Amino acid sequence: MQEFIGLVVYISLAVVLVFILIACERFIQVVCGRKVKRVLEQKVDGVSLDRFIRYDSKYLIFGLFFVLAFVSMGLVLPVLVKCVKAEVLPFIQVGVFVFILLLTLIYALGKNILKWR
Amino acid sequence: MDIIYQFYLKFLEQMGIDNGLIILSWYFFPFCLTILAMVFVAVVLMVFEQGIIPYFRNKKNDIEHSCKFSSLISGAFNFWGDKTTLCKPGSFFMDKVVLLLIFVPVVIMFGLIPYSNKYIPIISEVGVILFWTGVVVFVFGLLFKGLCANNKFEHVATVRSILLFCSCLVPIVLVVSGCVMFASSLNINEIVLAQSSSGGVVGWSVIPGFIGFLIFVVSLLLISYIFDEIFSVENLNGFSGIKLCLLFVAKYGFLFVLSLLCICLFCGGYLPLFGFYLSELIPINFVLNNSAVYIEQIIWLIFKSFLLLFIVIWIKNILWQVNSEKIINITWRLLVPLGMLNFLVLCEAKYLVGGGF
Repeated sequence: MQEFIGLVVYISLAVVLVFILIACERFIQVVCGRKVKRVLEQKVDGVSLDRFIRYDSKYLIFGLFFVLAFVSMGLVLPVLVKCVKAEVLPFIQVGVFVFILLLTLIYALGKNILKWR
Repeated sequence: MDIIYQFYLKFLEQMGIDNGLIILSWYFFPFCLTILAMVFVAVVLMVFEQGIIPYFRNKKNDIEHSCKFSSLISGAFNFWGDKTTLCKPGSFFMDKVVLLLIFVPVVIMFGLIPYSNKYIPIISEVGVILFWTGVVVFVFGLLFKGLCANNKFEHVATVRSILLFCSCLVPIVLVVSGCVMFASSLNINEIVLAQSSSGGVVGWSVIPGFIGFLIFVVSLLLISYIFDEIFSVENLNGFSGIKLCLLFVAKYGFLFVLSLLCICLFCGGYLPLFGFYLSELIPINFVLNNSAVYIEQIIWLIFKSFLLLFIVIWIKNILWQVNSEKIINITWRLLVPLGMLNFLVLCEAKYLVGGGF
């Protein structure tokens, strides 16, 4: 439990710092706040040229699956530490996990899901 | 750091303060150092990326460039100026939540890195998992940043950016998994110490795991491309003044902390290049010599990380521009299969090193 004290203190201090800075900004601001609301349809893409493709709704679905894939990858980390004793079970678990990922990737490539144009 | 801590402990004990409170208050000093380091990193990288490289790329338009650069700097560090928002955020509460979700995990990730053998702000046996949790929270912070924009186009564009970002993070987690499995530890400091040898560079993981290192660096390069889109002026509507400053600090801080992790996993972290410390050669007394070693370790780590990140930013600005289609192709068709291959090779190597089942 003691090893998480540092983590908790760090999180608390960081949260307090953010709120202090936001509060300080109100005091040191010379000019009064002026809010201008503009329509955002004029926004342009900073990097790529595919300005209209980026608003396709399919990205919502893909985004969800990509986030799930990325988050679930972190779950394999604790299993890997067990490999220190060269036990069979962790190797099989990790192997099955990577195999399922590989199958999904091959399926996605076969269906041209990752080909966006 | 130990000497300062002992002095601090004795001083407060003499004042009759409780021991638990002393330990809690001690974390304030590394926290302040972390925040100072983040601001320093943000300023250095911003000047390098937005000031120095474009100047050498396009000397003819240096007036235009200097105008752009000065407007960027003044926009990011304009705490007291006019507060103009292009788009009203979703609610008063939402933009605060976004700032917390983006800024706080970067601070925690900075704290988890071992800067020297004795100076690790947050000591944890599960450092890699905590680091990865920080990355996940950061991703969700970016997602909320788009969702609080009160605009449907912004929502879809943000999800698309997050999609690209996650595509680059998947190869990184594959590489990190391989390193964790090979070192058999989730403690970042132990992963660094596992690379120590009298030969210096010879003991680093970059030699057996060069493919993994390459995957990490290319992913870092692609993330820096995606950050240009996520943190572009158009996508930062609703954030000005100190909020914009915090977002910029978090952006460059995140890039730097990923670079720190890459160095810790592959390039020996705070270990010296030659296998011995330069400060050991100086004939001074033992206590000062030890302190000099710890300072040298911090310098080595920061030097290596800055070098890696400068190279990445230089490549990004000099060589070519990539769009989202290329990023998806590079990550899912090249880096992820390569990462899996690297992972399976490491599995096999671990199996052989461990003497089989």
